[in-house]
Amino acid sequence: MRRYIAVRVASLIPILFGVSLLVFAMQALVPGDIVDIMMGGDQAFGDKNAEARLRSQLNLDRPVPERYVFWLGGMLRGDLGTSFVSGKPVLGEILRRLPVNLELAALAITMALCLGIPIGTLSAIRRGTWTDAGIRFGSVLGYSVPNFWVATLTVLAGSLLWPGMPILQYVPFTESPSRNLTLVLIPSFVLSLTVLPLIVRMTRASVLENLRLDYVRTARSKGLPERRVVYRHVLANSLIAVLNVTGVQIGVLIGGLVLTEEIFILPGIGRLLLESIQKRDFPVITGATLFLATVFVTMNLVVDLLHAVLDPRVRR
Amino acid sequence: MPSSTPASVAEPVAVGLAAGDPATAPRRPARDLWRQLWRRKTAVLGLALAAVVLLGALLAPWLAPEDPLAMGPRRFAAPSASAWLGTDQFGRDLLSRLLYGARVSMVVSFAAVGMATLIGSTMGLCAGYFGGRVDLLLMRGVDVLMAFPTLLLALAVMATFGGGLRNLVLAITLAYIPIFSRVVRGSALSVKQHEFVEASRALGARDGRIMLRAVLPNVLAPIIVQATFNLSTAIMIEAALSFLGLGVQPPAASWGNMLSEARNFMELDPWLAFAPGGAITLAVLGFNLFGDALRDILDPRLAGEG
Repeated sequence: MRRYIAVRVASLIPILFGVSLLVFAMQALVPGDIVDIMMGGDQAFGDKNAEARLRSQLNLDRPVPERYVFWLGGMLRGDLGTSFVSGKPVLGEILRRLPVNLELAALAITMALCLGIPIGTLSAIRRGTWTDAGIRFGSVLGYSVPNFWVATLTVLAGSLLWPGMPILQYVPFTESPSRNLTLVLIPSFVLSLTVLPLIVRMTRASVLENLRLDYVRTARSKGLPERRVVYRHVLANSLIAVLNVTGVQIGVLIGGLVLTEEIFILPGIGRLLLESIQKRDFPVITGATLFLATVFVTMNLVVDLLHAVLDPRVRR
Repeated sequence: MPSSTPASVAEPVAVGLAAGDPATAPRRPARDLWRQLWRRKTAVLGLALAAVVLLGALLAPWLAPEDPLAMGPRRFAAPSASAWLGTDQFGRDLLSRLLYGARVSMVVSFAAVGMATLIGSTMGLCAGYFGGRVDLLLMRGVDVLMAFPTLLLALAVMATFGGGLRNLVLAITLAYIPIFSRVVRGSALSVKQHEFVEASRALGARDGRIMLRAVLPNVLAPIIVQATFNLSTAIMIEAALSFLGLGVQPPAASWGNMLSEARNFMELDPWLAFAPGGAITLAVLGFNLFGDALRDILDPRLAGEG
């Protein structure tokens, strides 16, 4: 097991190296000159000396490979650069917003699992009935509806139900848990709808598959009540597949977070990324992209390792 | 869902191939497929929805009652006989904008999925067929692309290169290459084991010919299923990017930017928010239902379980 973990963790290194190359390449590929973008609104615009100063400040006068090594060195030391706009370190800006994302994501996944597993199980044990058909159609419909539309309509419903309500300022959980939750619960629920349909589908498929296996027949023939067969044996074995699909859905969730934060005006990393794209604040764009990609591959690794812990057949 | 396409895809269909008669094999399965599709209610519904969207996109210049950019004196008009879906904040005809939005959506999705299918499948085919160093190199590249959540990768591309149709296609293509490479590589690996591949090689066929004539027909089913699902997610990503202001720029109409603009006026006129979202849903639903049915038919192992 320890060997398996070591191998899997080590496999992250080339991937993250490639990710850093790609993100750096994007920054280097930006059409036009970053200096022009930065000095666009500046009084010093056109001042060759000021331009040259900025250029050497940003290491832009160096060859590209050297710039990459320099940049990567900074990344490895946790220095994601400095925002063009605010002048603050990028990593600090990201970490300041991270709690918002963690809270939204954790609530959304919890809600999706708490709803999805029972619904999927119900669909499986009622296979072929109207309940099953309804749930199956509901889940296809569920992942066909764009989440950002649902979110927009939720905002619309809110403003029609409570007209004249001022836009609420975000409050951190640590400051006032109750006010924080009233702000975050509805967005989290909407976000959970991005992953709910697939959890339902996967639970259903996995329960059905397990119901066919020999151990179920054994359990039934030794006289165990059906409830116990389903809940203790089948569901427990089905959850591994559900865990896997949840892992795959982390990427969807990260994408969904960007849209959710934008629509519900929550100050997370997604909004930071969007704002920096609008302002062409490239250190923040690359920093946030790199950060989110790292979180994504790390979460995938954690899911894989959990899978290996739960299912010994995976470790080879 | 999409990534779960397994490697074992029915039986090899290229039986006639080693005998030098590749034309006999693929004909009947196609007709068979149609017959099976027509028998499924959800497939027909999906096909109908997709057809409506495609026709709307194709015939937009003839179907649209108004110029989608022409502003009129009647703003926020309710649906009526003259404007079936009403008008928006500039008095533009909503139905006409929806139809032209369908154009954007379909052009971007089909172009991006088509390119990703072509590039990704070629990569997967080469990786699976040649194995060894080629495989290692290509799949490492794919791993790197897979390290980004789809929307994040697309966002990064749009942030770098700016908005517009061409960059939307580029962004979605890049985001979808990995999935096609993986699916095709897996299938190619398993097809390669079959004797008919060995047989064509023994008969002196070259690598390129074996890949195209023997391996490709047998990995076609998972490619088609994957492409159908990706069409529906591509519609969603295009809409999301345009919604965020990074895709199609106003005043040009796209479902995403229409919904985004509607956010400022929807309390006044909820229709503006209902219509584009509904259009996205129906289009995505159409391709999803169709994809589900295709997968059930082409991949009987999973039938009735999704």
